[in-house]
Amino acid sequence: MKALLVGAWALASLGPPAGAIEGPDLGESSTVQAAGGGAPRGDWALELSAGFPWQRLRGQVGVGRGFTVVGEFETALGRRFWPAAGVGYRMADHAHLRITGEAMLGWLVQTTPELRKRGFAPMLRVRVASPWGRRVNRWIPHLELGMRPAILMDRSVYVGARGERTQWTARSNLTLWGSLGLAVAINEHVGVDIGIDLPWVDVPAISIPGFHVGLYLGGWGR
Amino acid sequence: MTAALVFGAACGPPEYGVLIDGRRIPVVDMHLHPGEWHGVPAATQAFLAGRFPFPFNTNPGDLADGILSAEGILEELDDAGIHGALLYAVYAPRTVGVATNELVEGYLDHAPSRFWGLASLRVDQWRDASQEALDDLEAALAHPGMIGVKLAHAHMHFRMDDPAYFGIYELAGRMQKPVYLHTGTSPFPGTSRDAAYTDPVYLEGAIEAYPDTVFILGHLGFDFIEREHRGLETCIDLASRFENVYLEPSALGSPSGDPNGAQLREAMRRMREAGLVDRIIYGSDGPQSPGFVAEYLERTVEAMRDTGYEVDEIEMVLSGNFERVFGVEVAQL
Amino acid sequence: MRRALASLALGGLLLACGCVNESYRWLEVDLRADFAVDPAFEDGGNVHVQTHLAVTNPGGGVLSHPLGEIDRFELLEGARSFEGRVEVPLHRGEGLVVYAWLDLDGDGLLCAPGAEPEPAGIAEVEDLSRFEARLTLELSEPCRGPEALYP
Repeated sequence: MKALLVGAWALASLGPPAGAIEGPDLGESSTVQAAGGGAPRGDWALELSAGFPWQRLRGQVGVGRGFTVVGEFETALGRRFWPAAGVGYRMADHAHLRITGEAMLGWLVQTTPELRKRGFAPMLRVRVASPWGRRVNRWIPHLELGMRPAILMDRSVYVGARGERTQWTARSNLTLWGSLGLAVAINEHVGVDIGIDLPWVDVPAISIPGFHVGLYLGGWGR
Repeated sequence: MTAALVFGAACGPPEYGVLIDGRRIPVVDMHLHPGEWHGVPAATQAFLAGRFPFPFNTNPGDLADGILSAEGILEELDDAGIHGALLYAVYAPRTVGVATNELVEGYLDHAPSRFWGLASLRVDQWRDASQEALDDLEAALAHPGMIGVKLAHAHMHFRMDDPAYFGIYELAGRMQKPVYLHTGTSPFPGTSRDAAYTDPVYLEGAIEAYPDTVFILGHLGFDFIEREHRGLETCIDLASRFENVYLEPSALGSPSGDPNGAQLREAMRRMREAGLVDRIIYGSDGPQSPGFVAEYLERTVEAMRDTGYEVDEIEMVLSGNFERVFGVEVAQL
Repeated sequence: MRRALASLALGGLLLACGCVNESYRWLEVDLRADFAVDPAFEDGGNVHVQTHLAVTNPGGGVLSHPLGEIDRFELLEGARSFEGRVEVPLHRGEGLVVYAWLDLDGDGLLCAPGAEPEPAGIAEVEDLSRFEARLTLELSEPCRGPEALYP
C-alpha cells in the first residue's frame, strides 16, 4: 500500500500537464472523471453503486488547479456507515493514465450492538484509471486503493466521594480498501461500472470480498 | 498407508460415515452446541462477533442463530456425513451463556433419530438452591433422548475438587448417565483460568469417589489460551488408572488453532501409545462455523491414520466407544 | 477546572456528533479490608484478594448471576489488611464482594492436590452510598472458591 502511494506521488512528480485539465474541455467523459477521480473546474460527476456488501453514493466537482471537492456516503448492509467529505488532486493526467490522490474526513458509524463503532475515520485513497477507446474513452479499467483508520472514543464516568469525573480513552482500528473495476462510458454523461471490492475491514479480522455495479452520471451544464 | 479415505459428503442425498479401506464406518459427533444468540452474554457476543468475517459480523445474531438451529446443525452433519450427534445444554451465564435443557429437548424432539442430548444445571446459587438444581437435572435426564450430563467448571465457575458439588456425580452415576467435563482453559471472556477450575488433576477425588459414574474428560485438558497441551498427560494418567474415565479430543485440533494438525496428532498418538483407544470418544465442539464439523472429522481421521490407528480402532473412536459408553444404538450404514 | 471544562467540551462535542463509542460507569469505593485467619490454620504466607460484583447483569434474566470478578491481587508479604480504591463497574452489575484466601505454602494455588488445606473467606460491602467501606474477612473456609461461599 505504502509503495503504491509513493509510486503514485512519483508519477505525479513527473510533471502532469496540469494545464490539460485547466484548459478547455478535452471531451473527457464524466465516467473517466468518476472512475479515476479529478475533473476540470466546474465539471461534476456522480457515482451510484450497489452490491454486496457495499452501497455507495459519491459526488465530485472540479474546483481548478487539479483539485476536486468530493463528498461520499457509503454503507455496508445498512449497518456500517461512512459519510465523508474531502479533496482530490489529480496527480497524473496522461492519455491512458489518470491518477488521483484523495484525502477524506469522515465518520464511521456501525450500529451492530455487539460491535458498535462510532468515531472519526479519515481516509487516504489513490484512484488509478486507464481510459481506452476513441472519442469518449469508452473502456476504463480502474483501481482504487485506500486506508482508513478510525479513532473510537470511549467515555468512562467515575462516581465517587468528590462527585463525577469523566475520562475519555481512544482506541483505533484500521480498514484497508482495494477495489478493481471496469467502467464503460455509454456517452459523455453516462457510464456504468462493474467491479470487485477487496476490503480488509477492521484489520486483522477476516473480510469476505464483495462486488458492485455502478452508474456514473455527470458533466451536464459544463 | 495406501488406503483410500473417502468421506460421505457429496452431491445428492447424504451418504453417512467415512469410507476407510473399503469399509464404511459410522460416525457420531459427541460434542455439538445448539443455542440462541440472546442466551449469550454481551461480552461473549462481542468476542464471537469479532471472530466472524466481515460483513457477517455486522449481524452476528442472525448468522449464529442460523448455524445453531436444529436445521443448521443437521445441515452441517449432513455435509460431514455424520448421522448422529450429541447436543449440549449449557448453564454458564458468566461466560458462554445459557442453552437450557428445554431448548435441547426441543432439538431432540425435532430429530429424534439424529440427536441425543446432555443435560446440565445452574450452579451459581448452589448454597441456597442445590437441591432444586439437582431435581431439575434429574427431571431433564428423564427425557429419553437425554443420555448424559454436561459440566464445564471453568465456564460455570465451580472448583473441580469441591465436594459440595459431588451430588451431581452421585446423581449421574445413579441414573447411569455419563458426565462430560470441559477440562483445560478456555478463551471466552469471564472464564476462570485458575487451576482448580481447569486442570483435570483436580477431578481425581471425584473420579475415585464415584466409580459408577463415567467421567469423559473433554478437550484433554488443552490450554486454549497458550494453544498447547497442558493436561494431556494428566488425562491419560487418570484414564489409565480409573476405568470410569474416557477421553474426548474436540476443538484442540481446529484449523485455526492447530493449522498443521500437530496438536491433534500428538493427542491421538499419545492416547494410542497408552493403550487407551477403547476410551476415546470422537467430538468436534461444533458447529462453530460452516464446514467446521466436516473439517474436524477429516482432520481427526487423518491424525489417526498418521499415527497408526487400525480401521477397527478408528471405528471404536468414531462411534463404537460412544455406543458402548452411552448404551445407545448408532444407526448402521 | 480547566481539565474538567475541556473534558466537558470534548464530551459535548462527541455527544453532539453521536460518536461516543462505548460508555462506561464506575463507582469509586475507598475500601479498607482486614483479614483474620481462623486459629485452626497456621498464619503464614500471603493473602490473595479478589473483588467481585455482587450481581452481574442484574434484573433476574437468564444471564443474571451472582459475582463477577472485577480485580485480583496479592497483598505484600505478611500483610493482613488492604487499603485502597476499588472501581466497581456499574455498567456490568452492582454491589461489591471481597473474597480472599491465604497461600500457606506459597505455591500461588488455593489447595493444590495433596497440599494442606488453605483458608478462604468472603464478605459483602453492605452500603456503597458513602463511597467508602470497611470490612473484616475471616479466612476460615478450607479450599472454597468464592462461588461456594456467596450468596
